[in-house]
Amino acid sequence: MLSLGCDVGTMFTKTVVMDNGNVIAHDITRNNGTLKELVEASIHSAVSRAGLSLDDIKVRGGTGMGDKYIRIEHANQGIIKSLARGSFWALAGARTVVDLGGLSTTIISLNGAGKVIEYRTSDKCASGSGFFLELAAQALELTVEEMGETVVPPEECAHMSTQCAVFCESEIVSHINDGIEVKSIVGGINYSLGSGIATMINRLGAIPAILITGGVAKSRGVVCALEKHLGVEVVKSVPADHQLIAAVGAALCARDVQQS
Amino acid sequence: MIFAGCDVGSLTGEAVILEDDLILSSEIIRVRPRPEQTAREVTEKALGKIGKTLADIDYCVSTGYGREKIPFARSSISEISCHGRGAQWACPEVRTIIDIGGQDCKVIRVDKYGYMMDFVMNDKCAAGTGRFLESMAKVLGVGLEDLAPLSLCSKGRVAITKTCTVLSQIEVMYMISDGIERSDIAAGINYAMAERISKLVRRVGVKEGVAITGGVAKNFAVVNAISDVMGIKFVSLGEVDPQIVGALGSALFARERWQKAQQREAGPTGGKAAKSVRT
Repeated sequence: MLSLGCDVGTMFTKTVVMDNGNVIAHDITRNNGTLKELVEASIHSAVSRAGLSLDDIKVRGGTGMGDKYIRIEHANQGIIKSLARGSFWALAGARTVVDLGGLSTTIISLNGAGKVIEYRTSDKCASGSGFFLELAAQALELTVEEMGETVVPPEECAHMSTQCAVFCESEIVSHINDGIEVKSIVGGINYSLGSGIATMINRLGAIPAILITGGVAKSRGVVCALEKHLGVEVVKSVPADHQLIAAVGAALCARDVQQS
Repeated sequence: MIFAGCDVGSLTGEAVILEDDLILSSEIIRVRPRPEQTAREVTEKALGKIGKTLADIDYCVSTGYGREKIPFARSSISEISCHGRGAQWACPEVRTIIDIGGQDCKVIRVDKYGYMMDFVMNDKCAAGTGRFLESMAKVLGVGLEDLAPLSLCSKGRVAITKTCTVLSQIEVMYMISDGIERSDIAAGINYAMAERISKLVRRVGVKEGVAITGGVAKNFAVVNAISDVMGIKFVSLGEVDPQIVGALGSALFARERWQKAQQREAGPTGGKAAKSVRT
């Protein structure tokens, strides 16, 4: 059975086309301009990459903070529900889901059957978000990907005294002026990010298997730091891009609705 | 006697030149990469206005976050004490000072002599500081000084729901793309600042005689929004620029320290006499 899922996040719009529980095509587009048109374009490009037309896909689900811009049936699947569903699809034994998004961090604890027991979202402060990483990368004249590939042992990390994204930019500039190596600064940023995320996870309980999703999950530097702070390994390999998990969840939720 | 006070902050540096009890000149500049550079440049500029040089200063006290690194300052004092002292000199009724700087916000309670009794400070989060206003002006595509006049044209201000500067920036970006008037957003920004600052003020408790200092004090729209939110009226600092109050305070401390040094040099009798005067 064909299904489609679309997740309109705070920074990116993600669309997946699935066939019998496998992702056969996807699209990730950065949000800029009018969201309504952008969402349509993202859906269109994922569908055409699958060699299909939208009419071929009867099951369609949407989610994310911008779900009001998705003009398909079942567009409001709820982000927690979609994340949980997508995570259970990615790894049936997942008990803790850590979604590291563009502007928010969400921790969900699941029971053995993939049902949500409890969740926490931090969306009051940009500290530790994907956007925070982008601002830091800009100040360092690097790409977010380059920052993610930088894994530095804790003793070589520059000390970052602030959690605030705005003040962090100034601290980066003063570290550069003080002649501190860019590599150590990146290490310091990843280290402090990992520490913040670990604190959030521990508040809910770090029950393995811990699955990480969202764009920031692609940063090896942040994930390594997170593991050091947690003292537990997290699941790094998933059957689809980390950023697509909520979109997959939305498609599966829509399918569940259709089948019931 | 010529006394100098030099305040090196995060975004600007200020200097005040004092002769006895009279402000001879003052200067404000944007910070340079190094605190000592900022201090030298701003102090020399202030001195230059009255045809003097660093060599003419009898005593200089530095303050601000870069205060430890100023070679020509004989000593340094925390900016919290200096703001208390400077504001009290400008207006003797002052008991509470709200200082909104480029990267922090402080609320200071002082006694009738201007000595600090209690304070709270936010330097962990950019909300409620000059940086918040700067970021918002950037998103609106206007200069920092244009925010206040722009907000006057507002017909109905919008609420900024986020506290975080970065998240507010994104919220404002969406407001602009939804076609909301920039003047209404600007008015919302002033109130977002005011809400954040009033939370900090309430932690110290408001006393009569509230003064507002720092660069943001020159933004009349933010000042009005704070008075509106808190239901208070600010006392006037007279002719004193609110942004130089820290530097003024440090110049007053320079005068005091110079006088004490003179008394010590005058010998044991002089020292004793001075002590009895103070008690």
